[in-house]
Amino acid sequence: MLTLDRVTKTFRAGAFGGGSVTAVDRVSFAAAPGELVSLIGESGSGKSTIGRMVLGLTEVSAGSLTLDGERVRPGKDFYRRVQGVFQDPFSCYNPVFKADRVFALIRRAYHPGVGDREWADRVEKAVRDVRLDPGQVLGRYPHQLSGGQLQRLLIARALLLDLRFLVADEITSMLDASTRIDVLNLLAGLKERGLGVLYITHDLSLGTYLAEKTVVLRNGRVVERGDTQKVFGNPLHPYTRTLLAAVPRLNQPWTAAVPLDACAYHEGGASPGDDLYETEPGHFVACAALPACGRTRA
Amino acid sequence: MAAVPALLGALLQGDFGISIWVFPTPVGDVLLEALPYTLGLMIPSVLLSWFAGNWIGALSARRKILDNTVLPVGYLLTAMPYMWIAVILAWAFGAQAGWFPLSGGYSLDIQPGWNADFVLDALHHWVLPFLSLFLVALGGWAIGMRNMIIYELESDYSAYLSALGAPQRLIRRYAFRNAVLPQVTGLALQLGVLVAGALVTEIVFAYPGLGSLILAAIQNQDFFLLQGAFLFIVIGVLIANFLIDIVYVVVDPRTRTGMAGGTS
Amino acid sequence: MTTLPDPAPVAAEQPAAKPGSESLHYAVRNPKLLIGLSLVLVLLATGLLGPLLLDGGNPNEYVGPQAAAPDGTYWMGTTTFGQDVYAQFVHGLRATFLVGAVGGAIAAVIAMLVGFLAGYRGGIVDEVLNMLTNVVLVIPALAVLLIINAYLGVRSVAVQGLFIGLTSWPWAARAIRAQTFSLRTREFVDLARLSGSGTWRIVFREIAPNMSSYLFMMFILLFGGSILIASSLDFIGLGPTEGVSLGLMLQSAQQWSALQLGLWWWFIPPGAGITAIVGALYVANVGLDEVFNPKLRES
Repeated sequence: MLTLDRVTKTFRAGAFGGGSVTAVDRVSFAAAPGELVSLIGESGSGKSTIGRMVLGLTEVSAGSLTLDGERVRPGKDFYRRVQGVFQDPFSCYNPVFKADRVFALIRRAYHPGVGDREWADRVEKAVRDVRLDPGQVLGRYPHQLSGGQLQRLLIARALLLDLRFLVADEITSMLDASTRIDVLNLLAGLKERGLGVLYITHDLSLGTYLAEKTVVLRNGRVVERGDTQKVFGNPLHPYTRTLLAAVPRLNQPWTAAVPLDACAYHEGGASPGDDLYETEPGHFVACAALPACGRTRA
Repeated sequence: MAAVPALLGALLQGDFGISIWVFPTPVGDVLLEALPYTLGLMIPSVLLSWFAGNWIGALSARRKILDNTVLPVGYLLTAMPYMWIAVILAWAFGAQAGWFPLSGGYSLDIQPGWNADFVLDALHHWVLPFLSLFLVALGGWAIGMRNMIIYELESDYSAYLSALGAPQRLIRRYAFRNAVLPQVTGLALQLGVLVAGALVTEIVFAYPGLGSLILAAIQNQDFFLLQGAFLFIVIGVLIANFLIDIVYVVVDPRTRTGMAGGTS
Repeated sequence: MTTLPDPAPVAAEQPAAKPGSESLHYAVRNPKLLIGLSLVLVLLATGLLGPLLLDGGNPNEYVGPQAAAPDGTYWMGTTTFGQDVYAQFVHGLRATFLVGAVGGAIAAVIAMLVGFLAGYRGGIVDEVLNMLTNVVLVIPALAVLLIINAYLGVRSVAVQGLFIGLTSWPWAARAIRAQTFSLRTREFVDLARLSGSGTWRIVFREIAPNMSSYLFMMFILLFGGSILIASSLDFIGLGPTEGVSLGLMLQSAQQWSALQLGLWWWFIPPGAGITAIVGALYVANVGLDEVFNPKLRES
């Protein structure tokens, strides 16, 4: 459904635009209907930029980004099918208006002919679907609601459209553990209905909880991707190994990552110019950038 | 209208045409004769009021007693039209008290030249117009600086320095340096207003600068003179803007970083 | 739409006060705002009602003894021609408020259009608008107005206000642009884009309401500035040819040597009137700033 092919984003930097920063470098992956792809990376890895490009909020510098074969083009039609939920729920709401205004905006743009009564029913149903009590959350200002409630209201808003794909950018980072599980279960429910989800996170455990596929991003480049089980069961890139080693585990002290002595990309026999090498079906890895690799990727 | 290209060509060569009012003197000469008087009023009053205003504003930001006087006085001064304060000063210290002359750049009975008599006399005539320009601008800068300092003193870095146990004097000094930057920009933005103020002040005092020339040009329908004066003013403001930009780059290190292509 | 398992009950929360009423509470308790606003309203009332309460004749008519000091009949004395200074004053107040309103409104509209567009769109739009702003900024407004007035001649106060509005917007556009820049990165703007809202809809329905206090204060400053510029123009002799304004009063006082003749009642009231209006506006503006910005409130 969603396909990224060598997508690149460069920003101009400096007062006179002399320098440039490559935030996303030839990233490719795909998401099928009913699939949740988790995009994992640390701060500054470019994952939010990718999320914004999928949503059409930021322009793609190079490469192609398609949804169902059509190029991503921001506009009313596109947003009927693709929506986003962001990290900071408080920032997503205009503080001078009540929280339900986010529903009113959808109604104005997409369901102008719907009567007041019917719209109120639809809103109530969507709010209940995200496990909130309409009486407690409707008619309030954002500062009167909690982060979890606001986050779920945003998902409810997305449900009022004919949603096919959802971009969830670190939506659980600012929630406590119990609310987190609720929201993740919501996403699981959406998956079952055939929605595709791009779940952007820096937290590996959350990423593996739901995702069929995982993409590991570092400094704007994909270092490893594939089926979640395979990527985390048998990590072949030093960065992935470091990430895994850093995840706190119950009843186990921290141990350093096992160092790699061979680069799967070069040992596997990748052709020059390939971004990633498929070591086994559904498991792709980039060059490990070890000293033994000799020449580094351009 | 057909004369416009010829006019522009002549302008580029420094030929502003012949003045109608003071025929047959060339406009350029007339303007150049008046220019020193205007600059003599503007430059000292702008610079002194900026420095003094910033200093007073900074002081009043930390002393409540001073603040309670400076603030209302400042607002009063900055709300006064330039020509009104000029008239008030002329009336109070010129007509009533008789300490200063009411008009002109110099007395007509003294020979212009670089002799002590003339210079003293010129200064005597200069005081009131200078004072009226100075006072109004002073009010504006004082208030602006006071607000900026208060803003800086409430910022996170001030709180942090304070928590670290830095002496108040150091924090104030840092706050001052940060607060001065928008004041420099403010100077560039205010140039138009300051020029207008100088022009009307000259008219009140019949001071022989560009202001009085413009008045005469309007009254005598001397369009060449008017255009020439307009150009002089625009060029002067452009030069001043350029100088202020340079000062700003020197004073604010972030602009230098930015210009080299980095981010601060 | 998607169906999901039944919702679990959520704990109740206390409703809090609306943000707007809090501002009102502080507004009526702020002395600067109250004093400033009252003074402006008093002067406005004088300007609107004064001419009606008089005989309503031409304030420039010669009605009384020449150059008479203020007394019971003529509260502000008369000019060298025997005109009633008080009559001129109240008519002048009216003209002054008019030019302030027209000039301030036009400048505010242009500043908002330019500032919002440049701040929200960024990129090439921003650069072009910046260039335009810089050009209008650097050219001294008075000089431009000089030329325009000298060639075209200004008949009415409203037209004068128009020209002033057209030249005094740059600093306000810059300020609005800066604020818009910072607001535009907020995620609720992204959400509005994801809801299919266009540029101007977002600007006026998302961004502007978040800077409403700022915009209002900007208008007040533009209003005051417009009055000052107009009075300077009038003083130089480029004012409207009909009617009377406070600046024109100062001009005739200057022309007819009121200073040398000691006719203080001719030149002090008009300038005092301008100072009072503009000063009161500035003070009210500071009060408003304190109302909207909790950090500035004095305990």
